[in-house]
Amino acid sequence: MVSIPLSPFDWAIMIIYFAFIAWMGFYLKKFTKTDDDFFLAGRRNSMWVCGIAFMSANMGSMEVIGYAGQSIKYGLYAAHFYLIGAVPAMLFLGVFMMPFYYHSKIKSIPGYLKARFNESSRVFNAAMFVVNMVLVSGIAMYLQALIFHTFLGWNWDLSIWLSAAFVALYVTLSGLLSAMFTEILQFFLIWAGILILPILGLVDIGGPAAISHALSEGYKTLWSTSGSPQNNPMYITWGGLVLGLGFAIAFGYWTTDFLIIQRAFSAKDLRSARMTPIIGSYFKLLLGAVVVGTGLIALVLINDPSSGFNLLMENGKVNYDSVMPLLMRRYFTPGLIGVGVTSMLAMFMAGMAGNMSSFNAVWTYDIYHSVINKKASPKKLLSVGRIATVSGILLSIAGAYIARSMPTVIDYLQAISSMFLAPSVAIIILGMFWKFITPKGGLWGMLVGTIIAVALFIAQEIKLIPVSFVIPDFSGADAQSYMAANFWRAVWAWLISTGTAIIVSYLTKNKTDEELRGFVYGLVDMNEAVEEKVVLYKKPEFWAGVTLVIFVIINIVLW
Amino acid sequence: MEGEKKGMRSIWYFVGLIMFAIGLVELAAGIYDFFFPPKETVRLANLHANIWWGILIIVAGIIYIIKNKNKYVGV
Repeated sequence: MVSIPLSPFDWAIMIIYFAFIAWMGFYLKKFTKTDDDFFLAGRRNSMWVCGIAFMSANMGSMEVIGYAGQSIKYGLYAAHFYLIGAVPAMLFLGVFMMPFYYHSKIKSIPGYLKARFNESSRVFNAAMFVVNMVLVSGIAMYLQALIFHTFLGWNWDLSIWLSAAFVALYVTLSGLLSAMFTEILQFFLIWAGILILPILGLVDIGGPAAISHALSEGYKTLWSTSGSPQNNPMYITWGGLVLGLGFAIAFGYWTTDFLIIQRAFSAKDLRSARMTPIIGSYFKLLLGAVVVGTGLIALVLINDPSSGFNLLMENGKVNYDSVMPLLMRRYFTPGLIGVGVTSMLAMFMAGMAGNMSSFNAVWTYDIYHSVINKKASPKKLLSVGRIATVSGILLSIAGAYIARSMPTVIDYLQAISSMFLAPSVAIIILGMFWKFITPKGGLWGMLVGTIIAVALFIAQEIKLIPVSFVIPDFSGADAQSYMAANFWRAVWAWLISTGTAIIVSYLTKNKTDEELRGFVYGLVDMNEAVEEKVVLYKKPEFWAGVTLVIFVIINIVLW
Repeated sequence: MEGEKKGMRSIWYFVGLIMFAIGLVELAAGIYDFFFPPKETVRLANLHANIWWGILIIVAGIIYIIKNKNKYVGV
């Protein structure tokens, strides 16, 4: 493993960045009386502040480094994660769900489930969230270790433990106080680090035409090879993409992940809150172009033996996730390396700090305070929270080793989503839109859906069933259809959860309308949701429509 | 302090400051590289991307600083 020695200029950039973040934390403290005061900023923020913070919260190392690796494995099919797997759900959030969220009493998902259903639903969801967060944080930690390994040549164990130490330090020093403003700074830094990569890559391979020339149809189109699984590298059909990725996974993530949605709650008015995910959708499209474009450039280089470019090989296995750090190593000169490495550190820190603070809050309030020690004092809760953060980081180290053993981190991430996200989200959305679902219906729906999804995954991993077992339209190479299995597992989990919830709801007692007020669509006072009259080009619907047109054009052009 | 009386500086001002500072170091690295090229170079090092990318980041930073230097958010 050849490493790149960082120059004093590169170190200077990293030091400037961290010093600036620390200084900003102190500066902002002067103007903040309480955490809530700052975090919601008295609902004063503009749509741009909210939209950029919203997008920054999504731009973790997985979104950038992980999906570049996906492009090597799946070609242009990786772009679906930024298109059908993001845009429709983001627009739905902005246009339809945000008025409901903005005026409802919903502030966190476990809290919502307690109010909408019962205490058991809250605890079950919180437990699933904690498991999900540890596994996802493990992926982020592994990716950071990959940066240290690639750039500095450190061994894996040292890289993983050092990443953990970085997170512990950062979470201890930062806190929520400056989270949103830090995210905005990180957003610009991340772009400064990654935007230049595809530009240099395109110069190197001789322009976009080289991609089209070098790759087969399955690797350079979005839909034309999705009629039959064996024609495309993901071994998926359009049905699996639309139902699994576009619906079960994307709607789950974008419409119920409060780590992201909370950014919109700090908007100064409803129109700005609705514009938050819509502004985010434009950056999501741009991010997709940069990340997938970079991956495809690397694919062209890999196919050309004279380029001298190869992915990291470990124990005879190709490490797809190494593509972005290795391309940076190929093109970046001193100074640029500093910006590139700092941008990757920024992605990692932002993602992990958010993960760990959510882990801490859910464990302390929704599990410890709710089940283990109901009479805990605020002081006790504070110390439990601190222990939770340290434990969360240690558990994430275990998650990092699991992530390292997987084919690519995104294969693994989507497997996690299909088990721990899809069943809960099916019930959350059902509960939000249909008052018919009873407390027991909600709980049993989540429980049965999760158990079956986990059982299917474990059976697949221990080779009790083939990977293709959950895929209804399967006719491809079994081991290669890992991602297709993830999408379909999410669809089944969603359907089983929904079906169970409906059946149990028929048999059990429901809450009254009065008890559900504020928590179900149609039972929220939407009078305040009437927006001021604005000209057409200022309406969220207008800008959502523009995104939709761009989305359709991209899908047609790259069909 | 004047800042406290007026309120908090706009976040975009800070965005300008960090971009300016980082761009400046990147440009300095590019200029140093130009006059003292390292023995081992990377692909496309002849394009001196650190110079023009550094300049671009500096210009973006300056625009943000100038546009927002007098903007304060009331607290």
